[in-house]
Amino acid sequence: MTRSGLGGLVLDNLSRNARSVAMSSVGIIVGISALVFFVGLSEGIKEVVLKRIFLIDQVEVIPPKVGFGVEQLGALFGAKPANDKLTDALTAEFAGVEGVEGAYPKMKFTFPAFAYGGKELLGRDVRGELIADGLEPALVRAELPADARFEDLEAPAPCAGDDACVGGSRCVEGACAPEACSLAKGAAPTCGGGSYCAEQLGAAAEEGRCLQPIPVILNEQLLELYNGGIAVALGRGGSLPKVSKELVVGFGFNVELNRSAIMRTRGASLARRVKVVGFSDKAMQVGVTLPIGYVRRLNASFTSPEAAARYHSVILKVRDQTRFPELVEEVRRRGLALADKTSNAEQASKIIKTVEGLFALVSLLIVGIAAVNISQMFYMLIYQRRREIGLLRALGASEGDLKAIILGEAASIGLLGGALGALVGLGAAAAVDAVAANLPRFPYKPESFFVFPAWVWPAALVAAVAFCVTGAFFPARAAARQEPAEALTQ
Amino acid sequence: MSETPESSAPSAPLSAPLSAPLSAPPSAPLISLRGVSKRYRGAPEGERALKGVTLDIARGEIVAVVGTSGSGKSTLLNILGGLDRAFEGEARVDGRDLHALSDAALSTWRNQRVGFIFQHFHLLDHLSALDNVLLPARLRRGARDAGAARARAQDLLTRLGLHDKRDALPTQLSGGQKQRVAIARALLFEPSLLLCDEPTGSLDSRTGEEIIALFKELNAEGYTVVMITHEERVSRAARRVIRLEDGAVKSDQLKSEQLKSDQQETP
Repeated sequence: MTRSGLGGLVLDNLSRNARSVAMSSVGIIVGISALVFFVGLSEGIKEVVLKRIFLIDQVEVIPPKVGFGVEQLGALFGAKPANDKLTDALTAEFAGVEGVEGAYPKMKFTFPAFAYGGKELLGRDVRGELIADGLEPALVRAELPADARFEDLEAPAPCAGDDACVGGSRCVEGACAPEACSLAKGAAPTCGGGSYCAEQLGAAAEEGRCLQPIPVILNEQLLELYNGGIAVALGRGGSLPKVSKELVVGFGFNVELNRSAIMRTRGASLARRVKVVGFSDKAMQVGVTLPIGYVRRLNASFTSPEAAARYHSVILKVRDQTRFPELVEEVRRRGLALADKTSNAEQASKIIKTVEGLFALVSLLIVGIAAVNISQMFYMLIYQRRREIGLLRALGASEGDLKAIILGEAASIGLLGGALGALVGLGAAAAVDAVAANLPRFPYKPESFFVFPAWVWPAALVAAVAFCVTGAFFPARAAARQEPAEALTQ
Repeated sequence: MSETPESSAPSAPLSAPLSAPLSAPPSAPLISLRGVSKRYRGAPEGERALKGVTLDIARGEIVAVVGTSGSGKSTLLNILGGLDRAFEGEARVDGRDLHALSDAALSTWRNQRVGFIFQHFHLLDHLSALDNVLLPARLRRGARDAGAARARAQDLLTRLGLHDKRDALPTQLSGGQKQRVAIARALLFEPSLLLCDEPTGSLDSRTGEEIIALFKELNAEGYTVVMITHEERVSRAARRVIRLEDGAVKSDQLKSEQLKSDQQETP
């Protein structure tokens, strides 16, 4: 039998049994729509949980955790602090591990600091303790806008002319140096190129110098936390305005370094302006992140030179996410630990995989039941059509032709059911999103709860066809094995 | 065969060249059975539907196989048409050993070399008369000329007086018309053998006579016709009558011999 002959017979049979076909397709449509819906939902959850809350494309290595007091006790006897392990040498070693795209150290402030300001953004000034760390600008460069200068603007920079220096500094003897400034009457020049005169910030500032604000980046989670709760908590009965990423970028505030807003501190302090230049998921979750050069200098200045040589963590950028478990193992083998966020990512990844598996199982169970239903329908149709099957045999249909006709009908039902199921699944997802759009905002609330990867559409069709063909396999075999002579006498 | 007004349109003869060449030399018998026995599944060991049937049927013959119900005539027809291969003995039809053919080869042979005509017509109710005639073309393997098959099917319907019924569904046709559609379907690929199972069993006597006349006409055009029947009027149309009894050939007579025999028996 030729393909066109087969196609014609299949279409004839489907159209005259439209009612049975429609009834049997319902199960397939429900099963496939559930499959598409659940795949979209679990991919959507993955998108939020593993790409926004717990990052799986990076591993944050921290010194091993020790029991309460052990470290302090060890220190009395001259033991090195745990983060002594996180050095430049170890960072370089990790950078060479398979599956690692790069290793980037992070260093926290080892001194207190507080931030103040915000009137231009929030309507009034707020003041609070500042937690900050520093990371290599190279780690986040690709995530930030092209015009965002997230770099150490105060690092000694060689130059051939003034153009090579940042605003407010000038090339002096082959190196960029800050221009002098004063707020006193007649003591200009005014600082240019986005810089400010340090005297503006009071006695703690480095007087007489033009300085660029320290560029910082924020984590989107901080914005979520602010909009989701802090704005209300600080609102004194009302609420501070909610802010967006666009509003926050370019926003500047002041910091006082080596001073605390909540406790007494001694020693010299330093006042600086900072400016938010962008957002990155690699930035500190509750705090701000600076280029690591600033943190090294400030730690050396306010704490000790040793404090500027010890990293608090190293971020390993994962090139191949499938190697995530091996990389975690490698970290543990070296006697190091994972930051809570990475551990949580690992746990979240396992939980999501389990949930994903359960979703898939439920969907496949529905489709499986539908396949049994399809099987029953074909047994019934074959019983009703047994004389016709005998006739087709008499007219020249082989056993293979009969199987092809019945499996062709099953595949067509699968194709139709799969396509409709995919549309229904997509529609159900759109309906859920529409309902969710009216829910109050909550942290990490996505625009859509569903992400449909491209493979889900062919997979839905293939699964539907495969289940239908499997369901029809035994009826098709039974039809083909029917004795034509016997079938004709029925 | 009666001509309809529409049949004045150009039409191909029933033997238009749509068939494959015969595989056996014309001198060899078309059908050759040697010691064919058949026992149905579940039947007692000694009970056979056919018991060592041996016979030859030449090309161009018109043969009636007669016998009472249960004599084995339908079993014989199923074996001749390759619909039942679970038998003992040797059956060669059109030069082919039916035991030796694969299912696919046997199906192709049935499709192109055998025309079946059944008592209950076996038309598909959801297809028009024309599409019923074209059904064997849909099942044909390999390259096929759909246009030629369609033209031939239309010609056949015209020749059989059904030109204006080509789009009618079987439920809109009379018994005689249905049987003519079934005959057209059987003739689509100009088979070497027409196997007719009680072809007039569901028809009134007048229509039955017309159908018998049609078989005689087809035989005159060169078709080999084997008719299974228990009706005297059908067997009268045949030149040779094979009588089966309890699965065995009781008599096998040419019409002229039968006439002589009848005359001798008459006082």
